[in-house]
Amino acid sequence: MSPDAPDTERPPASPRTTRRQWWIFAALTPAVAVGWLLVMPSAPVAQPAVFNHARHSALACVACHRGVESRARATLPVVSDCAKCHATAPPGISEDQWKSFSGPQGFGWVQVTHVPDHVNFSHRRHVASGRLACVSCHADVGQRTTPPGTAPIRVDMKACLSCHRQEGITEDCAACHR
Amino acid sequence: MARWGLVIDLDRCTACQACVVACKHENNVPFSTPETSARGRLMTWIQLVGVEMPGGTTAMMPMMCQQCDRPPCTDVCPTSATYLNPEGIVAQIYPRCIGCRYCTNACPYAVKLFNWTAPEWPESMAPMRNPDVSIRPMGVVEKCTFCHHRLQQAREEARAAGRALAAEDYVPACVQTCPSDAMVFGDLDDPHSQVAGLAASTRAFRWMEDLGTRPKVVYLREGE
Ligand code: HEC
Ligand code: HEC
Ligand code: HEC
Ligand code: HEC
Ligand code: HEC
Repeated sequence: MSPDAPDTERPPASPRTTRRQWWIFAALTPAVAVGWLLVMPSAPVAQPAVFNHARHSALACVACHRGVESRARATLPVVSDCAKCHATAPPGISEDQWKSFSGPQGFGWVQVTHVPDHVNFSHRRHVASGRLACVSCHADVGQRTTPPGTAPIRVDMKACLSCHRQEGITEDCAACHR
Repeated sequence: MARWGLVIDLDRCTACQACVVACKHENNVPFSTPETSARGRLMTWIQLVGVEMPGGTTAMMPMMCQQCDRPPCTDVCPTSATYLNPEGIVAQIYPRCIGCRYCTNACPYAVKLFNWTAPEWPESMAPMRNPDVSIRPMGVVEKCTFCHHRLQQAREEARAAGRALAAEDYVPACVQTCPSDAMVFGDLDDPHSQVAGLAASTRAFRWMEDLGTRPKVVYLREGE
């Protein structure tokens, strides 16, 4: 660095540039915020068909969620689970749609309550052994008239731990993480 | 509470590597190429290591996490992602792991492995994935867990059947596979168990036991 160029000297600030940057910033902030609210973090899912749990309250949950007492995953129903009562498409679902649901793709119901892959969660352990009611983790889903757009209860680590602490169940990390 | 341990009889072990294959399948451990292995990035939770024994012979020792009772790796973990659980299993909580690799360097057995890349399998193997074990992402350290998921399952089975967990209910994949019955698994704290008996035999030794790590993998010396 030459001695006649003092390092304190800076190019003069351009007021035009800073004002433009301010406008961009001012316009962008609400746009990002609105976008975030619309897209994240819990955009309601669209189900492939209408479903009314309340109309089916005579049935045991396990009739449609076949794994709930015997396996880790509760599972969502396939057409053969409905065929006993709905030989043809039920009200609200077209015959064409019903035919495609009977195909190899099945209904394509979208699961709304999730735990990540690294979590070890078993319905059998909680429902069959622990004798917990579905409402403690799924709120009113079993009595709803329309599918829930998002999980009514976020079953996250805090929820798991607070119940485990209350019930005196393990809090060892390795029990829930795999 | 049980304290799980593994005894490996080097007299019975034929170094056939069935345990190595079983472990890879059970725990979704990806393949390594000779190139990645040459760079010191071999990914395998158990491997056969040639070890010079007193008397000049070379023994092939199946080497996996030694599940130390005084693990050097957990002391250095800055996030407590690796710790000794109440049943003596050195656990690794992958979402908690930041991949700093202090533990891989602290481990004298070199059995903690860093994921340099995201795991990959041939497409035809996708259905063979074990759903009970998660796939570790790039950037975390992984290791043998004594097939901890099998313990969780055994416990669930026992609970569903309304009885207490028996030690025989829980067997890691390597032990189940071993064709020469060289591996015995069980509760070291149960004085009547086979592992406790073998671990107390005169042939028993622990690898690098002079370091004071107190491994729960016990080897039985050859030929005596
Ligand atoms: C202790 C909490 C808990 C209880 C009790 C519980 N669930 Fe769940 N349920 C979950 C969690 C967590 C998930 C997400 C699982 C996943 O992502 O693998 C889930 C997922 C589901 C799903 C989605 C599909 C699937 O395969 O898992 C259905 C259906 C379901 N539960 C039904 C039920 C029913 C019916 C009951 C009562 C008999 C019940 N659950 C009781 C926590 C619970
Ligand atoms: C035990 C018999 C039974 C089974 C099994 C059954 N349903 Fe129904 N479902 C009924 C009855 C009864 C009604 C009421 C019919 C009515 O109101 O006309 C109904 C009504 C419906 C309706 C119309 C809801 C509304 O708001 O009017 C839909 C959609 C439906 N079912 C879908 C299904 C699906 C999908 C399955 C399988 C996953 C299924 N049902 C399984 C008995 C059953
Ligand atoms: C006739 C079949 C049927 C019966 C009986 C039934 N369900 Fe469902 N369940 C469904 C279908 C179809 C879906 C997916 C669409 C929806 O969310 O409404 C579903 C979804 C759910 C979900 C949402 C899972 C998720 O993704 O988070 C829960 C929770 C659930 N059911 C609980 C129950 C409970 C509790 C009962 C018993 C009181 C019950 N169900 C009985 C068919 C049934
Ligand atoms: C509403 C209470 C409640 C919630 C919420 C809950 N649990 Fe549990 N959990 C229990 C009970 C009760 C048991 C014991 C069941 C039995 O008696 O076998 C249990 C047992 C377990 C076990 C077996 C423990 C052992 O000793 O082997 C695991 C693993 C587990 N839960 C994981 C989870 C995870 C993961 C979540 C969150 C996604 C969760 N739990 C949420 C009540 C709960
Ligand atoms: C009772 C079950 C349970 C126990 C015990 C538990 N966790 Fe979790 N943990 C979960 C569930 C379920 C999730 C996923 C939902 C969430 O992100 O909250 C989770 C998520 C996490 C995450 C965040 C992952 C992410 O992607 O953000 C970390 C880190 C974590 N657990 C570490 C631990 C550690 C460390 C311990 C022991 C001190 C522990 N957990 C004990 C159930 C448990």
